[in-house]
Amino acid sequence: MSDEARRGPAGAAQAMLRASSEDRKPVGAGSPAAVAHKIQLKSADMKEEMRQDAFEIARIAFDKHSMEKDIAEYIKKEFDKNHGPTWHCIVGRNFGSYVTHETNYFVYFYIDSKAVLLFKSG
Amino acid sequence: MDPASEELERRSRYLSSLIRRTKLSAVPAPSQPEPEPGVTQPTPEPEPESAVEKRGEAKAEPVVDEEEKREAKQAGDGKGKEIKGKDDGGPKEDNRRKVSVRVRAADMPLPLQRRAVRLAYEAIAAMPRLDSKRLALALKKEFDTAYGPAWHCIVGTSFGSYVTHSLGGFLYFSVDKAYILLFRTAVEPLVRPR
Repeated sequence: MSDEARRGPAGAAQAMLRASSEDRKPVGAGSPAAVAHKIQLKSADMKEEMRQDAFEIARIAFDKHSMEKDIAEYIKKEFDKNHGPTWHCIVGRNFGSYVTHETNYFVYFYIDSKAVLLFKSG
Repeated sequence: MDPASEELERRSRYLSSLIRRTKLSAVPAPSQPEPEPGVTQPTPEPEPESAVEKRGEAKAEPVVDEEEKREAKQAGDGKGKEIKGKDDGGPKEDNRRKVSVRVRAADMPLPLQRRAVRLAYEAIAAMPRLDSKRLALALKKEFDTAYGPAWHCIVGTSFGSYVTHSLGGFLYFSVDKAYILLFRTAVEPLVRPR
């Protein structure tokens, strides 16, 4: 579905594929739930505006859902809707990854004690 | 009608000769129920063994071929039990214990599944401690090289995911305590090839 359609912000003319790798190990125990989820950016190949959108959507997802797969689902669907398909999202406490993403469409950050990997490919 | 009569006579003589010959052959073997030996022996063929499948329990998920891409939703640790990576492998368990391999969801040809499971199994067996990043890298590179880009791999003990994959390019399995997600997406050609 919509293999050719690739809508995104202006400036993303080139579709260059790049490999990124992220690895996260649990450092401390679970942190207490704060009013505003604390976000810590770890790695990004994404413009500031879209990055902030990811953070905001992730906060909403964490408020709405408790299971990691539901959080990942919410984030991915929001990005598929707002920034064009096709996005992929991984949420968890312990995982390593190696993915290929389109240029300017990759972000990896912590929200509270969980890591979120969001990237576009395909 | 002389030639016709001659032909008929000849055929009749042949049939009589055939009958007589049959009777003669039946005499030395009285126990034989049928005069002519009918060789119709049933040969049950042994079923082909798939010894390779002993390693894991393949559980293929039915695929609805409605779209080119299909969304898959997976949870790393659905039971809600948070397993931390640091506690992987007890120090007391120095003896080589059985490592369980389980395919939890798949939309992938069997040969590719076997290749992924074998690689992951051997890699994990060689690791004293689970190195998620290294295993993810090994799997992705192997599949990118063997079957073309672009493959993505997630390895860990506790994660949830929601991805869109190409048809026939999705595998989610576990080896011991590690959960492995391997999937493929379509790659658009570059506008300007380098």
